[in-house]
Amino acid sequence: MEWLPHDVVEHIMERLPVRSLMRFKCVSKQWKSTIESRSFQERQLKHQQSGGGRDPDVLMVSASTDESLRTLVLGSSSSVKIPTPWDKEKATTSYLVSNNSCDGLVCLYHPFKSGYVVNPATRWHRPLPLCQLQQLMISQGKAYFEKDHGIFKPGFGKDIISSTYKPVWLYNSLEIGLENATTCEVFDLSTNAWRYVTTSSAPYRVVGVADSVFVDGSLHWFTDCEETKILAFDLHTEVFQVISCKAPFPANSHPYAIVLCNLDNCLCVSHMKWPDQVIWSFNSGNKTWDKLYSIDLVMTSMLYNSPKLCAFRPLALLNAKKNKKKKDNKMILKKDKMMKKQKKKNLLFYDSMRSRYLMIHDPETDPDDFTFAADCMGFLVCYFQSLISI
Amino acid sequence: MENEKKMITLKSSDDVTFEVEEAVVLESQFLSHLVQDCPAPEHKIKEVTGKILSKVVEYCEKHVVVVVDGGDSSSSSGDDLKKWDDKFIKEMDLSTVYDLIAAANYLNIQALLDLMCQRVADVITACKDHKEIRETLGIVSDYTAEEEAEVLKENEWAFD
Repeated sequence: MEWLPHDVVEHIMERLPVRSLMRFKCVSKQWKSTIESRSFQERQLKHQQSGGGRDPDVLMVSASTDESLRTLVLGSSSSVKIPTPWDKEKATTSYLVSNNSCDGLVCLYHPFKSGYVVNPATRWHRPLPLCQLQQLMISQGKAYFEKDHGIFKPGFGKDIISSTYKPVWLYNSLEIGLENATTCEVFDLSTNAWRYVTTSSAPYRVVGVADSVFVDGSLHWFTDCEETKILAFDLHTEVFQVISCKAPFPANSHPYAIVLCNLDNCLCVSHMKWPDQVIWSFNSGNKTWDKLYSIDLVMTSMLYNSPKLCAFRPLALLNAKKNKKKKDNKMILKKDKMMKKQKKKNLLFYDSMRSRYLMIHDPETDPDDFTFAADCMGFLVCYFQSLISI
Repeated sequence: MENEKKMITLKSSDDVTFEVEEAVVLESQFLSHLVQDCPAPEHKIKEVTGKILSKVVEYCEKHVVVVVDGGDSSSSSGDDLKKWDDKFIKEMDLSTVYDLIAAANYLNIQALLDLMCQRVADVITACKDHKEIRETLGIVSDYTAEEEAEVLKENEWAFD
């Protein structure tokens, strides 16, 4: 007879990290079946996300031909390689990664190759077949690139009503010989195939180089209009909606100067306005933009030659750690204690062009901290460790 | 003038009695329903021994006081409470923790259940392998040797 009923043991197991749970599948059949059940996995993830103000991990999707994935725990200077079956010595495919993770899963893609949904914490992965756009690009070959079609990237999110994960490609399609202004393909996990979205179509063309970002059940893009509009695609109803908003940043500026991102489940924009990097947060209630951070990049650019036209990529808001550089002044300490609760979180960001430094911006100190450095880190995405596979 | 506080008596399975303020009882969902539904002066809790009930009462009394005094739950009283919780669990052996988990589960005291589960989770995380967990939790494996070897092999990387 066990000393605790299994439902209580499940309460305890929910609090364990993913790696421990992978090991503890060996305890008994009951433990294994608990660890592999979706409802347990969702509760465990909730703990990881909310428990004790933990920060997410960072996945580095390498641009090198030696390896594909590496993961970094914030606050540690080392990184750990995640072996993948597609790692080949000197010939590993360089994948790109969708802008955001979702429940510990990330979506790797490549213009001409089958992509993967990967769980970096459990090393689980599932290949995605080629979508129609990829097949078209392959069949048109060189001619495709003469069309000046822009670079489109798949978005990755979840239908929060039915808990179904969906990779989505949305692209402008007139110039590639299709009838509609835009075409949308959704990956259906149950049939393991891409399908066109026919219920609704995006009424405006999307910005060619823009990422899409998942927030609160919908994927979001910027439209290619004079005035900035956000296109939201509800992953449950699969209907597009246009959100008009007065944006405090130019809509039609240099396309790389604006990056959409998800920070603490809010739709945010990073706008480069040299020497300031401004982060705006969208208030979906009154459709306005609030300034979250304004980061002076002069010091950063002196330390290394960072680009001045392309926006830095925000990755996550971090729970502020105790500040090491705090001045030894009682008045300040007292004030800090009072301010403690309202203290703004720190921003984790990097420059995706050179991709050499991962930086932390603490609104109370200057300049920004370099938290990790490599010759080329590749593309980065933050994720909370989960057991989920699909 | 201080209002007179309503007192309630709890009696354990081995007939140890505890006289507590009503506010303390309200920490437990189970007991607050019991007190509402049956307004007797004394309540017998057959499933919990005196040893464990004393721990439950100690925990609930501490948490009630802090919530009442702290008012806006300023950070210092929150820190104090956390320190108190740490000390509370540190002094306890695992078998008491298990009994307390069972009691907190039965009496439906979420914060106490969370605290105790976290304590066991920390112990389990420190276990070096599945055999140690079986010993810690009294679990008998239902794997055959072949099955176990197979699961072990699938997840080998997590043991590094």
